[in-house]
Amino acid sequence: MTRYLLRRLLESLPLLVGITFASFVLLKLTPGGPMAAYMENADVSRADVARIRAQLGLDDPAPLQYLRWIGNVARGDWGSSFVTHESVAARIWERLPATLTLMTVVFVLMLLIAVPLGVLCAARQGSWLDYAVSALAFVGQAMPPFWFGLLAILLFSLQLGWLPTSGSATIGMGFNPVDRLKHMAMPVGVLAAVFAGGYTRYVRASMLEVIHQDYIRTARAKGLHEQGVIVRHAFKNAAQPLVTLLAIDLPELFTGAVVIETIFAWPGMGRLFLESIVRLDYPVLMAILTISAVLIILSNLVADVVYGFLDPRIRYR
Amino acid sequence: MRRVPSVIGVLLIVLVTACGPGDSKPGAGAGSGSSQVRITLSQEPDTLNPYYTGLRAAYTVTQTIYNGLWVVDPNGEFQPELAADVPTIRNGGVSPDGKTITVKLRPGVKWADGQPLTAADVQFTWEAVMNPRNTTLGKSTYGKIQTINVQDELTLQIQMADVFSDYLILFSYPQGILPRHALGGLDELNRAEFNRKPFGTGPFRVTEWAAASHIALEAIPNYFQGRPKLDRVIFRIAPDKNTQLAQVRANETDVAVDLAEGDAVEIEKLNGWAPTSVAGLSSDRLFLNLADRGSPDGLRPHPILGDKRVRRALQAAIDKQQIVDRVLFGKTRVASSEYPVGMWAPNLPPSSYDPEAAKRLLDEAGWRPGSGGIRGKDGRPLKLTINSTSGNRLREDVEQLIQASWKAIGVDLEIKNVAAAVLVGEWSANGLVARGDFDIAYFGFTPSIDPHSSIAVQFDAKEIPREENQGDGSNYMRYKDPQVDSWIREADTTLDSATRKQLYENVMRKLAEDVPIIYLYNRANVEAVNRRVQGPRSHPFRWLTWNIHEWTLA
Repeated sequence: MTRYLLRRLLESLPLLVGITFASFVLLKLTPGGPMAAYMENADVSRADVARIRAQLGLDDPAPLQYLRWIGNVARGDWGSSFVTHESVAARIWERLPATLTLMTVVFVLMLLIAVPLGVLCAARQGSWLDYAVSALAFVGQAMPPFWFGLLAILLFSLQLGWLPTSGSATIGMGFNPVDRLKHMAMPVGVLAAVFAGGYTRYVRASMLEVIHQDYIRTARAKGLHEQGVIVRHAFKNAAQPLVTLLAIDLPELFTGAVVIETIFAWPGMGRLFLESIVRLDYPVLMAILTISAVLIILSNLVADVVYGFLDPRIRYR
Repeated sequence: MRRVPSVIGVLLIVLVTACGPGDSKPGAGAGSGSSQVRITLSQEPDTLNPYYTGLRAAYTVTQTIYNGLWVVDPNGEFQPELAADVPTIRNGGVSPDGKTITVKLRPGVKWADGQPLTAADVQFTWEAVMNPRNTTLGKSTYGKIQTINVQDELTLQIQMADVFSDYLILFSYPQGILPRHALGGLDELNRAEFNRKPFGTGPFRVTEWAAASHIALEAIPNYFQGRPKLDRVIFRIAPDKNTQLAQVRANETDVAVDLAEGDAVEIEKLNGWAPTSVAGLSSDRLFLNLADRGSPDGLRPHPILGDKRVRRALQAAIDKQQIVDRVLFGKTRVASSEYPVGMWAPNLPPSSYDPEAAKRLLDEAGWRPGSGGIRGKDGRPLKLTINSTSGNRLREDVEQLIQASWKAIGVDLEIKNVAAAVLVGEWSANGLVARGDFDIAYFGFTPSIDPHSSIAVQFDAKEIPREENQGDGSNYMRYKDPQVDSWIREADTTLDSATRKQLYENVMRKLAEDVPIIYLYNRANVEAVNRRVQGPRSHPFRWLTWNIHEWTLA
């Protein structure tokens, strides 16, 4: 097992370097650049822009810029933002808590909705409940989150006046759980609904596949009561694809949700990424992309390991 | 299995009970009894050190923190702020050769932390801008200063290398004076904590900056222009205009800045809100390329736009007032020159809309009506391309109006919009306007407070971006006129403001005749202000918070 993990981790190093290289090339190919924000501004002279370009190292050949970046990262230095001049680590640290909070609540809530509903629908395939949930799941999945979010603001903030339109807390209030929940309700609700739509359908589909297997019939024939058959025998086996999906989605705890964070002015990572794209703030973008890549590689590894617990037939070499 | 739905039920109850009655009383914040105004920005400032930014959102905040030696008033003239008066040749503040400027500071001004402001702070500010390790934006301007001598606590002498006609932009809005006692010990300011939590001599200082959420400021009781009437100001940071407007509708803010003309119409309909709006300096215009494509040095004239009669015809065929009324809801005005308001504005009427005159001009220029209603000359159709920034609804609408107007006089216009970075990108990034690879470019430009920077860099022939100057310069039109060049160069070395005004007016009159640029309309500075907030007034040269120390809550 340890050897297996070590080998997997070593194997992913070149992959990671490849990802950073590809990201760097793509960012460099994007027209504009960190200095484009000053181009329509008569108060900022071209000579100043040229001087800052040189100071930031933007005039060096691109391969050199990449090597310098990866060298610094290897030494644990992510550099400074071209826009705010703060260290990249500081910029990410100040945004991460908001995104972690939001996405953790979303994932928990989503699982609480999707797993029971998916299992129920599979257990009562063809019932009115199954049709109703499937229809709702399709709506949740098909509705563009930005539209869903705007509708929610229109209803809950502007019509009913129950919930604040934006932000993560009332400014100057200090920590107040009720206030935090009110600010969280809409972004969490919209994201959880969207995620739950997909997950409910996955849970239902994989349950249905399992439920018609021989060993389920055997379990029933042994006289186990239905609840035990569904939960202990069927769901445990049906959970495997679910684990893969979850593992693939888990890095979103770090990257956040660009659209929803923007609509609800949630001060998280998704917005940081978007703002950095707009200004082409290479150091921040490279850091976010690299950390996301690491998390995706790790979460896939975790998924493979968890398989072993769910299915003892899988052996690691 | 039955237990799980009950968990959801509990959660739902928690969520529902969490939704008590709304908490959004305007102005009310934590410290009840204190007056607070919330202002929503459309973008997060990059920094609050004014020498590191060019963003409107940043200046909206920094002008409540810092003061300049002098500052521009609504008429575009400079008034003393930290200086006792504005130095000129006439009052002896500027030496007869124009190279020595003596500044007397206003006595008794204190920094927010109680330390006195001294001449050494001004000297330090200059050193900080020029420090090669600092990635400050003002080095070209402040590099024109040779030395600054501190003569006594409140007197300093600024020695210029050459005559610098717009010397009043130094140490003035949108920048200001930095405190030496807080920053003097640092090798570089790029990562200084101060840039995110600054203080100055202004009416407010920053107490908290919560990234992507808000910036909180508190009033300075001993502010030299009188104690601010508000106790606290909160700048809320919205990611986009939709969020700003939602906050306005839900009364979750008191002021929203940086809105557009169309929003003013919406705000007028809202109970308890009023829009403030003033046509600003910035104008959207058509840059006409006088040089042939592929001739960025301007040696070969453009086959169509090289002819002044064609340029005049194109302008006469545009109904600018119709654009203002239909696309900008009548909330701004037609533009006619580089400076629409203030002391530099030339007394120039807008071009008149006269499609018949436009047709006559095209006839004279030899462009005869041809097949499909499109004119032609020597077998070449009168066909032009316009490039603007993609994704801008306003400009797309205007382009279609222009396309229809020009079609009526026999000009075929193709609309090809590109990303802003492609259109106005640098020479090294093959930007279309920098390389001269366009017929007509359509975007906005905000002239500088003093005409020197904006008129010289746009219309002096030596500012044509080309191979020899590595694309430095903003004369995208490749406009060349020896008379204009000599006026510009004379104005650069003249210190008398009346003479300078005359010279720049000559330039702008000549431009109105030659039409290298078709000025379409000025952009309005639009803000939403809750009626409880008294005092906000739009300023054509500065952002709404310029007089925030006078604001009160009704």
